[in-house]
Amino acid sequence: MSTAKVNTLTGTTTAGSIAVTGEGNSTTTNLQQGLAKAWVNYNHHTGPAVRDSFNTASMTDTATGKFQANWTNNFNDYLYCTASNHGDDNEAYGNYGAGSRISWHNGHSAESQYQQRPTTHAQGSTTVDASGGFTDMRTIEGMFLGDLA
Amino acid sequence: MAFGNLKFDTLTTSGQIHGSEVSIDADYINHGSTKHWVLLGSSGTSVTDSFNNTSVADNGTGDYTLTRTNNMANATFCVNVTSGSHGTSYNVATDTATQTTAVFDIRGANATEGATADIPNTNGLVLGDLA
Repeated sequence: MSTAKVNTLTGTTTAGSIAVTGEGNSTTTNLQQGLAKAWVNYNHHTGPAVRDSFNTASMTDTATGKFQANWTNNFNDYLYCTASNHGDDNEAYGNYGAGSRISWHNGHSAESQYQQRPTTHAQGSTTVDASGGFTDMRTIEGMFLGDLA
Repeated sequence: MAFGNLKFDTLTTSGQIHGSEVSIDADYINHGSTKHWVLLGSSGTSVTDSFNNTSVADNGTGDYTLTRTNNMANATFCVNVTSGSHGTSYNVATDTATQTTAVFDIRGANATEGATADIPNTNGLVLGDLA
């Protein structure tokens, strides 16, 4: 079979679990666990505007250097993994790589400074320039992995 | 229709999310899937959630090694790490020089990168070829 035409892939033993043979032709990896469940390319500085996205219903501009991604289809808990980077530091392009950074709120403990945690339907983020101040950035790229509800 | 194993080169779906039929070569499923991901805990040295991760080792302040269950085919895989704190004083990075087929490293530092630091709730993911 060269082309499999389907609307939905479902595991036979467990509906939400499909094994894919890895590149080495021996080990298998899990299809569902390895897929990004959402991604977004976001301009927080101008607009703000979403350039492109998947499973991202909207972005909420919370404050300078602070925003929130809202999912179309929710995760099943708040314990998901986020990978992200920023493309510039407002208009101060010389700053990036020298201390400017992006963080996504993944607080999972009871410690007060870490209590801004994601929810099943959204995750907040902050961007900071090289001087340590919150800053709107032109390019925010994020991808999110975990279990869908 | 149920298959124990389905062999195919291209997968075509009706595009229920975006509304138009889409096809993808199976190579993108294999090569484009994340092979290892981890969300570390508040101390940076425990694992909150993960896929294909068997352990985390605390090598010292701001230095963690993540060991996977099924190894990669080589040590030239792609790693992305992201800070999980809303604070203004954290930097995280990976250390490509210490990557092996079995592990990758996450390193943490303070805002000025003047000292190592344990970073809470750090995320890391790996793309590449499985062994």
